[in-house]
Amino acid sequence: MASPDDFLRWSLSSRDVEPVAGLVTAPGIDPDLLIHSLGERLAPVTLSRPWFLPSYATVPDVAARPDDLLGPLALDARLSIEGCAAIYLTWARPRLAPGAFAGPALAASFGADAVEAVAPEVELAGYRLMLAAFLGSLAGYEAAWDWLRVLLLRGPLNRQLSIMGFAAAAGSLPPAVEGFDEEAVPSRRQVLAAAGSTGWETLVPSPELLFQAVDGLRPESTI
Amino acid sequence: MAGVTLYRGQKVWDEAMDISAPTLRSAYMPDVVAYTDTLLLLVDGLMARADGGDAAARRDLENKLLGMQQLSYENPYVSCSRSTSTARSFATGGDTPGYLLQITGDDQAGLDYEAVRTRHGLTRDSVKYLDEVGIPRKVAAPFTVVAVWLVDPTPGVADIEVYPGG
Repeated sequence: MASPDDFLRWSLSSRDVEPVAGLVTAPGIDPDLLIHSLGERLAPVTLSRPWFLPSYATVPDVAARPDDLLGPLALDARLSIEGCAAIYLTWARPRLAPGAFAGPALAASFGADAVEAVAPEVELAGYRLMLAAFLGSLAGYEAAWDWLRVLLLRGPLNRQLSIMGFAAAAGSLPPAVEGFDEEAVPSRRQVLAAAGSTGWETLVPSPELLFQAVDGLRPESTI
Repeated sequence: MAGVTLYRGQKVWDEAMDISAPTLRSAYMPDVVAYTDTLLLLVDGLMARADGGDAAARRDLENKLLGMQQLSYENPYVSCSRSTSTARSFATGGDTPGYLLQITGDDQAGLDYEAVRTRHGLTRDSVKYLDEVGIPRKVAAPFTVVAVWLVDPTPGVADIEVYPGG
């Protein structure tokens, strides 16, 4: 079974959060200061430039997509190195219409991002958002879990597997989901149960896991 | 060269169809053949440089492998698995029937994601369970589809061999 660290190391080392990965290898950065700084800086809200969500928010009208499922800019992340390093994350919840995550509306959005006509930039935006949401969820942002629900529901099969796998690794699968086997892509029934569950909001975030993961990156990053 | 048996799940299949990589099926690239060839060259180059000890290439390779498994427009390989159950779950994705293909070929001719990751100590996340092997461009020599079953996720519904038995 994968551990949360597996996902975090993946997220942090990905090009999609490149500045974050660079942060742990930058010369002159005191690792202890870095960890302290993460803890200090994750909580405040600082909004800077739009990052990647606009391309996801402007996805062409996908069949059966609830009009207000996708919100405007929801996340921003940047790196500032001014003697120390900091990550700024700003989260907004996806705009979900009442009932969008239940019943027919929920089922109608299943796999919406897997349709042939999805443009590369939309695919990439979904992928980046998933990586960032892994980080955000463990840093304590409830909105990150909301985005993971959206991405899970709309995702192609590999994305659905990754998000369910992440939730399982974090011990966070909603109680409504039964029988998820990491060795196979989740069934439609399991995805709908997970995406439609409000149990996600009761999950216990763990900033410690985030910091441990950054810590875990260091030996690897010196190779 | 050694033989290898792979499995693949898909929603549609007929005997005459080309089973091609996602990049070759992209509607967004002006020249999908050139684009696919370029991506394959890039992956080969990254592996060669990583094998030679280039740390930057190793990290790029880690991202590239994960990206190819998550982004169809980046994947110049036909996705297959060594695992029947994984391929079956793709065939029945969305809880509807699909086709399970058995493919044989040369174990040196495809991209064995997990072997590459093991060789370089790369992150796998949940996609390791896919046990994925990629066939470059499309299923063609030395790879051959040797059997196809129509599989149904409904409990109790038996697989139907549609090829070669028909």
